[in-house]
Amino acid sequence: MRSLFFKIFAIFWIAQSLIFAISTVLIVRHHFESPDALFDGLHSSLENDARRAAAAYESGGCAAVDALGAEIEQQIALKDAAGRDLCHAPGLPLPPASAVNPTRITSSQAGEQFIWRVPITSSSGKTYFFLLARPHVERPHRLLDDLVHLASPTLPVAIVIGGLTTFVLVLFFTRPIARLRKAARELAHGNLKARVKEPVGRSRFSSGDEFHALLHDFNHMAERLESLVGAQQLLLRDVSHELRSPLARLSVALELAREDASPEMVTQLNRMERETEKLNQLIGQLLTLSSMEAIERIDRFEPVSLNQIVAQMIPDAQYEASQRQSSVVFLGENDCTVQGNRHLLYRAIENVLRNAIQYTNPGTEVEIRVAARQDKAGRSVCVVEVSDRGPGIPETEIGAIFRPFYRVDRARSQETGGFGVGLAIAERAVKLHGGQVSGRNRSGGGATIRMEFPSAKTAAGSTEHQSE
Amino acid sequence: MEDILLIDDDVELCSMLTDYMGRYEFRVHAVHRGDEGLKTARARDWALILLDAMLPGLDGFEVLKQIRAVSDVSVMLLTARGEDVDRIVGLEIGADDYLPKPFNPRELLARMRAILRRRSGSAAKSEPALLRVDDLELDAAARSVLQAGKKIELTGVEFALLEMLMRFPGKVVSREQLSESVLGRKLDPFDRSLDMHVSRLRRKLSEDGSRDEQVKTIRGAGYQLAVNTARQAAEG
Repeated sequence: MRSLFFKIFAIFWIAQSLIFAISTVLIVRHHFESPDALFDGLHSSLENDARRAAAAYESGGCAAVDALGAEIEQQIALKDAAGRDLCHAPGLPLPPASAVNPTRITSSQAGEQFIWRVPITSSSGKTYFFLLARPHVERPHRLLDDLVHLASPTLPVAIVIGGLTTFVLVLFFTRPIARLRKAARELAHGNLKARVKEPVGRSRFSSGDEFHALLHDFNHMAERLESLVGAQQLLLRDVSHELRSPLARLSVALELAREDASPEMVTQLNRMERETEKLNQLIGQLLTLSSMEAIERIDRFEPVSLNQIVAQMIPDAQYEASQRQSSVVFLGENDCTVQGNRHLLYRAIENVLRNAIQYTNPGTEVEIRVAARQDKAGRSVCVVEVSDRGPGIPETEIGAIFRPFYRVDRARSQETGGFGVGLAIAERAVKLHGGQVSGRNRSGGGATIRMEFPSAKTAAGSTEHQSE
Repeated sequence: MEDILLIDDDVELCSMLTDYMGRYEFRVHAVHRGDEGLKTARARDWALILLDAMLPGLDGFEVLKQIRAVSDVSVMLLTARGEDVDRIVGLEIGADDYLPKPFNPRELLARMRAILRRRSGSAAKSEPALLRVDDLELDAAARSVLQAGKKIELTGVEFALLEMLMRFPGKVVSREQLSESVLGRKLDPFDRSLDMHVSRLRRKLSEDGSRDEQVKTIRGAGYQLAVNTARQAAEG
């Protein structure tokens, strides 16, 4: 039982054959009783009636025979051995007298009626002929009755057997597909460790078919993906690490040069220092990002008030915004506390806020809003929304803004000095807190980044869940 | 001229720093291995030791641990940028301060000066040199702390921290205030070094285990040195 092809083939074949075999057995058992048995019953019943009619005649004449006819609700007649009428119910047509074999029960048709002719010897030893007529009733043909009659063993058998075998077949298809789907979805959500559970040591029937091979290939792909992404992260981290030593030397050398420099060189040296500082910051962010990607989950949770965190970063943000002739407005709707790591939360929100300050147009306001809300599932969540009045995000690229090094406008980021790593760090930090982050454009221009964290009560539940 | 010991495996960086700091009245002695660094650190008194966290021979943290076992000399740890763990471990072991690499040499200079200033004490200031709170006695001029008559060894930061708290006994001193006066820089919300120093100080003050914690954390506000009367009121 290896390949899927063979499984489908075998199951259908078995199903068809079983339906045919069982139906045939049932039809044969049900319909074809021995014809003799049928006639024996009929004959003995007719003979019984004839005997009663003869006895009635001998005791009470034709009146008694008529009474019997009324009793059994049949038209009956009695003749003597020579074929003369003794008693005759009105309306009973008489068959032609040509008795083929007068000693046997015979039947003949007269007009619309069947007439049975039964020779009988009464208890007194006289021989009579008993005639019994049944009106020939035209039975109306009803399609439904015929269908039920004809399909009675085949249809239920086909339904039951077909159902059972199809059920088994569907199981073969859906179970591995459901497993595959779950793993694929997890993988798509960024859990590179997601694998399909391969049925180990289970029935030999399910191992080794095409689905099994597919699951195996999927796992192989996921492994490869994980190692590639891991290698890339490792490379990024190692490169950043290695860049630090020359940068440290460069900083000192620059400072030495500055002290020895003639005044006209100071401008150039300042520029070099600025660029060195930028490189320095980039490396710092890259290392932060890669160290955060290495964290699977936060091990120390503490209650953190988001309002407090935001209030803490407002003065610095305000200063930064004022450099760009814009300002920051903090709208704390209500106090919201989440379970998490203060440092990471601060970093996440600060990165989003600074990003907004970088992109908002001069003279506009950046809004940061903290509010307790209910999410779609009815859990209480803390929402932090940062809105700017900048160029917004191209609709097609909204999902990409949290990717490291993604920038909407390269020329602009030159001027703002961002690296496109801030939002990636923020996204990672939010995810570590079991939250979600999304971006959308505002009506009237600009973009809103929305971070959603499970609030303290909800988070406490999920923490317990995680530690299980 | 102050004598500085620089323990860092980057030879070129060391030579440049020696040159740079020489211009600012610091005589730098550079060592490139951890084990050698430890030997040199023990060999004589240094105004300040600059210690790289990653060293061949003996790990920077191990060097610090062994220095701390015998001496309260000021140590500034040079950690790798992005490695928060290094920083926290360093402060826990007893570094006075840390600076992530790569650093701006001007900032290094400023930090070094802050540490040395603390070391040289507040004798020049107009504040009283002798502070007493309950059984704690702090002599700012002699840079010594007695607890119930017993001497307690404190590093420069811990000393400055205790001094600040003892100037306002029973009052809450904000973290911002402490950061500026003790560490010589503005409070950075990411920076847990103040809390690390406080917890080390707390441990040293309650070493015999019998007494209550004297340095209290006031969540969201700062730290407070509990005075006996206040403690009694709290208990009653």
